[in-house]
Formats: sequence, C-alpha cells, structure tokens
Amino acid sequence: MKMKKYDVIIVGGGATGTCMARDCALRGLKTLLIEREDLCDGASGRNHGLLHSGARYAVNDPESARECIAENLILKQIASNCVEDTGGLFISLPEDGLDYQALLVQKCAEAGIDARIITPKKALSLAPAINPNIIGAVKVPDASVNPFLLSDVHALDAVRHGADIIKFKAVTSFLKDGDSVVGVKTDKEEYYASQVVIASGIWSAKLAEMAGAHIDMYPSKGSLLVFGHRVTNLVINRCRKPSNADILVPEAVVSVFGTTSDKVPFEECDNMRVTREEVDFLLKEGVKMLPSLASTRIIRAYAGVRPLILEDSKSSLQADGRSASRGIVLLDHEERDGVPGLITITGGKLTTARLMAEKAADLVCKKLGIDAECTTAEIPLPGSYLKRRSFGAFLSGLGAKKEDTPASKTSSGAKRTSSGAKRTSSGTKRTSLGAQKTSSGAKKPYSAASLPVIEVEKTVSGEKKSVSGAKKSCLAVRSVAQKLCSKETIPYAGIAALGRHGSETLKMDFTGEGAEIVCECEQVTSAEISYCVKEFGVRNLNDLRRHTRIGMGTCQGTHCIQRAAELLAIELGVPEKAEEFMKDYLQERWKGMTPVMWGETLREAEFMRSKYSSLLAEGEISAK
Amino acid sequence: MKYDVVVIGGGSSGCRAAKANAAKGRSVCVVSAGLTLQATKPESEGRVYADLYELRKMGVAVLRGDTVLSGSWDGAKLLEVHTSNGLTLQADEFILATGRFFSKGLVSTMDTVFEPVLGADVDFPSDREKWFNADFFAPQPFEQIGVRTTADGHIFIKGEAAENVKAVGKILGGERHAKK
Ligand SMILES: Cc1cc2nc3c(=O)[nH]c(=O)nc-3n(C[C@H](O)[C@H](O)[C@H](O)COP(=O)(O)OP(=O)(O)OC[C@H]3O[C@@H](n4cnc5c(N)ncnc54)[C@H](O)[C@@H]3O)c2cc1C
Repeated sequence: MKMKKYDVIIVGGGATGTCMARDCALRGLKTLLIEREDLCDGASGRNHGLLHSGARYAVNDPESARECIAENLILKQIASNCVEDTGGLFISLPEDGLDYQALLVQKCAEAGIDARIITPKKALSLAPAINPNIIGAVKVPDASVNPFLLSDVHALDAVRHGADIIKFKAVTSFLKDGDSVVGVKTDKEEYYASQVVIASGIWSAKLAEMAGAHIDMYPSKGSLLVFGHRVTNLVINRCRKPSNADILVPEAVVSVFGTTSDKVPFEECDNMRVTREEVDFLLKEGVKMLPSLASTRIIRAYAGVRPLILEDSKSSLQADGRSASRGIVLLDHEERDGVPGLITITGGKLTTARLMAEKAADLVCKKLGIDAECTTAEIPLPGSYLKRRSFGAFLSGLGAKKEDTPASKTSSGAKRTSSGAKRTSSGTKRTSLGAQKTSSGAKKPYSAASLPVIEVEKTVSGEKKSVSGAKKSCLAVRSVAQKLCSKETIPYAGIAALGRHGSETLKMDFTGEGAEIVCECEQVTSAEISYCVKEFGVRNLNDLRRHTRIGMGTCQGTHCIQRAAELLAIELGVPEKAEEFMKDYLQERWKGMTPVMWGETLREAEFMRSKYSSLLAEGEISAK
Repeated sequence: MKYDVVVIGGGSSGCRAAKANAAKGRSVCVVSAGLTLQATKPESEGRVYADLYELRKMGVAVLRGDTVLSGSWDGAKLLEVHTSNGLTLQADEFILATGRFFSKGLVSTMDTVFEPVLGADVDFPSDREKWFNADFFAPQPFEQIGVRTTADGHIFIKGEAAENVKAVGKILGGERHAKK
C-alpha cells in the first residue's frame, strides 16, 4: 500500500469540491480531491444551470439572496466563459396578481439586487415567447451557467496550482487515529491529511456516517425538461412565491424548464428516472408561462438530487448560525461530533459554491494554523477574459503566440503561522487533469500559466457600477471572438469552442483535421476534443460530453456518435474501443429520451435505432 | 387524373407495390414526399435510385416532393386523394405505404398515435411508458405500432374496413411488416 500525506483531502468533485480544491491550492495547501466518478456526476451535473441573481430568494431568504448576487457578479467576472449573461425576467400571470411583484422589487433592493419593473409590452419584446397575457414583469441579473465547465475550470486551476485530483475512485472508508480522522481509503490506496473535507452533496450523509459523525439529510429530487431550441434568450421566472415548475433557462442551443421537488429514498439517488407524472406536470405548468412550449420539441428529461439538510439539534455550529435547509451548511465535526480532522461543507447552490469553498477553506486554515487569504474571488479562472482593458493585453499576446508570455500572478503565497515556514503554491509539476498522457512530450504552445494576466475589478458588491462591469465583459467576449476569428488565429469552426473555453481555446490546434466539426448541433471540433482529452482526462464519450456538450443538442448524438466514438478511441489510443464508446453513449442518450418519447423525439428515436442497426453488427440492435 | 392504383409513399415498400402493380399492366402513380424517393437507411439510398429508374421505365408516374394531405370517401370506399401541390388523384385502389414515425406515416402526441393522411385506425398501448424499452438495444414496442388491418391488409377507418385501401410496409407495425 502506498501512503501519501496532504494538508487537506476533499471528498467529492462537484461544484463545491472543485471550488474547494482551487481555493486550498491557491492558498498554498497541499491538496487532494477524490471523486468516485467523473467531475459533476452528482447534482452539479444535473441541475438547472441558473446563475441565480438572488431574486428568487429575496423574499423568503434574504441571506441567500445576498450571497447569490455577490457570487453572481463574481462569477460573471472570473468565469466569463462559463456564464452567459442573459439577464432574467420575473413574469406575473393574471392569476398571480401583482402583490408579489411589489414585495420582490422591494426585497431585491434591500439585498442589493438590481431588479426593475418593466412594462409587459417591453418584456414581450425581449422575449416574444412568453405568455402575452402577463400583467407585469421585472428584469433581474439572472444568468445561465454551464455547470460542467464551471467545475472543469476550477479543477483545472487547482491542478495548475499544484493540487492533485483523482477521479473514478470512491472513498470507501476513513483512516482514523482514535476518534480523529487522519485520512481516507480508496479500494487500494490510503491517503493521509491533516484535514478531510466532505463535499459529497447528498452522499455526505453516508460519508459522515462512515467517519463516525452524523448529518440528517433530505434527498430532494428535481426533474427538468430540455427543449430543442432557445425558446427565449433570457431566464424566465414566474413572479410568485418560489414553487415548482416555474423557471426556464436558455442554455447553449437548448432551453431547460423545471423543476419538481420530491423527497426520494437515498437508494434512488444513484439512479434516477423521470416519471410520466413529472413530465406531464412540468409541461402543464410550463405552457402557462410560455404557451409555445406545448408545440416545442422536448429532446430529453433528467433529474438531480438537492443535498438539503434537516435542521438538527446540533445545528448551532452551522455557518452563520443559520439552519435554513437550502442555505450553506458548514459542519465542524470536531466540535459537533467529537471527530477531529473532519469537516463537511454542503447545502447551498451551484451559484454559491465558491463562497461555500471559501468558508470551508477558512475553517481548514484555522485548524491547520495557517494564515492565508482567500483569493478565489479576484483571480480569473482558466479561459476567462475580462474587462476591455485586459483584452488589449490578451490580444497583443496573440502576436507572440508561440512564445511564453510573462507568467501570471501566482496565488498569494500562504504563510504557515505556526511553523513560520512560508509555503508557496507548488508550481506546475502537473498541469492538467489528463494525467500521464500530457507530459509525454506532446507539443505545448503554452506553459501552464502563460496566458496574459488579467486584472479584475476589486470584488463586486452589488452596486450598479459592477453590474454594468459584468455586462461590459460580456460585450467584450463577443468582440474578442470577432477579433480572434478575423485574425485567423482560431478558424470560424472554433467559435463555439471559444464560447465554452474562452481563452483556453488558444491551446487548441485547429490545423489540419482540427477544424473539422464532429458534433453539428453544438459545433464541437476535433481540436476541442483533443484539448479536452488532454486537459481533463476522459474515459469515454459520456465524460467527453461534460466538457464539450458533444451530443447534447437537438439530435441527441444521432448524427455524430459514430464519428465522435472513432475520434475519441483514436485519441485515447484504443481504436478497438470505438464501438463500445458508441454503444454506451447511445444507451446514455436513450435514458434521457425515453421519458419524453413521443412526437419528434419518437421520430428521432426510430431514426437512431435504424441508423445504428445498420452501423453495428447484425443482431446488436434487435427488432423483436 | 385517374389511375388504377395510387401508392401513397415512395419508400421501399411503396416502390415494391408500385412495381408489382405496374407489372400486371395497371396504371400506377406514386406520391413521394421527398424530392428523391425516401430512404430511411443510408445503405438503401442506392436501391432507391435504382427503383426510381425502374419505375420510370415501367411507365409509373412518380410525383416527387408532393404529399398526400387527405382523401374523399364514399362510405368505405376511397374515391380520391388530394396533394399539397394541388392535385386530385383518383384510383380504383389505393396503397398506404407512408412508413412509421420517422417518415411521418404515423404521428404521436403525449397520449395518442394517429395516421395523419387518411385517419386509419392505429393499434397502440394507451400508456406511453409502454411505447419503449429502457434498453436501447432491446426490441422497442413503438416499432410494433401500426395501423389495424383486415387479414388481407385493408385498413380500418373508425372501426370500418376500407374497401379499396391496403397498407404495406412499416406502417403495419414491426412483426406484420417483417413477415412479408
Ligand atoms: C434539480 C436541481 C436543480 C438545481 N438548480 C440549480 C440552479 O439552477 N442554480 C444553482 O445555483 N443551484 C442549483 N441546484 C443546486 C446545485 O446543483 C447543488 O447545490 C450543487 O450542485 C451541489 O454541489 P456539490 O458539489 O455540493 O454536490 P454534488 O455535485 O452532488 O457533488 C458531490 C460529489 O461527491 C461524489 N461522491 C459521492 N460519494 C463519494 C465517495 N464515496 N467518494 C468520492 N466521491 C464521492 C459524487 O460522485 C459527486 O460528484 C439544483 C439542484 C438540483 C438537484
């Protein structure tokens, strides 16, 4: 058995765990993250993708609302390529009345959320698909976030600052010294650390139990429908007390409507199916807000589990003394359960994952006696380019494309107060999650941190000034895209990659076959696939999907799966696996299609079966 | 225009039926929604062009890019069909060969399946959760869905067998189609 020693081990690679890994790495801690599947296999890959402005919570939970708006503005700055600054509307249907609208606007103002009443006519001109009978509308700074990419870039940045990330390995037990947790065990290995942090979403309850602590959790299943195009370009919320089936979020080339919320048994969390009743309910409610949903093609349905915490008698130690079940929950198991060395961070939202990580990392540092500041709100993530001023530097960096630009500002070196030894982040010994393959002498146009330093405006606070700052960054993204393409640095085929990966797109090799489009719906090129395989470590097409959106568009992969499977198999050096990749992915897409298998989706299903029965060996797809 | 036989749908089954009838000396017209005849499977494409060539040689009228929208009935007898290009086609016998869902021979909504051209009766499980198998590779119930027919292939309209309309091909549903 091998033994390794870390400052901190994080269990779970969702939004919370990856943000935590980055935070710890930036503070100079020796950090390990362990995820049993791929990143974002839990709730972080099965949510609504709404970067909350906080307006949804303003009336009932002002604390969450304030957290959301602050994080919303931060992410628009530091993760510009993961966020589409769509803006959002709260629409009032005749049966909703306008009382809630008045309350919403007032509470938003109190929380620092820029919410403005606009006329129904104006709202309809912004989003012609909404119910023409609305009696009121409020504009808010909601946005659409790509949750897969958000975790990706956090993980990437963590690794680039020295963290280790192990994927596809579950933590099976905790290593203990008396009552104290001193590390974790996977099937074959043991890893030691001064602090272990459980960031395992709904599975945190099980892990805490394994370590001798106890958390009362409540698995709340939420189902969503994916519509085949962008029904609107803004997030559309229903202006009433937060409820089920009241939000539409445009995402890439599709729109997602949801959600439901139902308590499910823990056993179901690992394999959820969307039921007929859920689909019927979502559609019935959706049509009230957006009548055209009745005739819009539904391409898929999926579900995730919210990690909600039940109020418990020991809740005095929860963050900020709050015990709101949807709020951030930080548990110090040393004080709470007498288990030193163990911390749990859960609850919260995708939107507030960075803040959750900050709170948990603060506690880790306190426990370790390390005095290191959180810098995650200021340092942009890989791929994010920000204010116009920085684009000049960014673009002029293009001229010297193959040369090293000055290394970026390193993370604030952490000082270990107890020992006095100053520790710096541990360089770039491994700079991708793609593990071994990367270092194998492949041509590398950039050194790990060679992208131009991008300065960020000091952290945003919710004032109007910073809102427009975020807007500006969106405009600038567009102008950078145009400039990049006109300079022929990135061919036109790479523009979708630029939207997803931002400045990281410069690391993609679009020469030769690189510019070939593999997935038409989402415009994924061969170059983007190579980049993701290299940077993120991909086992199969389903993993690749999370980093690229391959096969997630209208055709659900019918047209591209065989091409993508061959390309990926070759890229990974296992050409014999192409067929297995193809079959696994077909089955995965099928799972999401079946709950909505009528109309156009049934047509697609029949075509998919027919096409692949002639591509696969006879009898692989059986007719009867 | 009046033919002995009008074939609705120019897929492989429609073409086969057209050829068989033309070979017996009947006047035949095929209406095919696609600009070329329809090929669901990539590998059928070559055969489709061969079909087209052969049909032309046999003197069959092939209306490409036209779609049958509806029919006019006299009781259980179909008198004529109307196309999207504004044609009215009369015939003694009609053959419905519009295929299954992909080719829009059958149309499904959340809770029903119907045949959109003539309104032929369709047999299908009422619970849509029973239309599919969760295993992509397993046989799919929706591939068995088809129009109800008499023993010799005549369709039903609202429970009554049509005198002069037969269905062929995928629109019959998997097993009956495969048996032919
Ligand atoms: C339907 C739905 C819609 C939502 N919509 C939104 C939204 O629009 N906006 C928003 O801000 N938030 C939204 N949320 C909330 C948000 O998705 C979650 O709060 C957030 O993703 C939780 O992230 P996490 O990292 O804490 O948990 P998870 O993403 O669940 O991550 C936990 C990880 O731990 C791993 N793990 C479990 N056991 C082990 C083990 N033994 N060893 C190693 N790893 C393990 C799991 O595989 C998983 O990857 C939504 C949630 C749901 C369910």
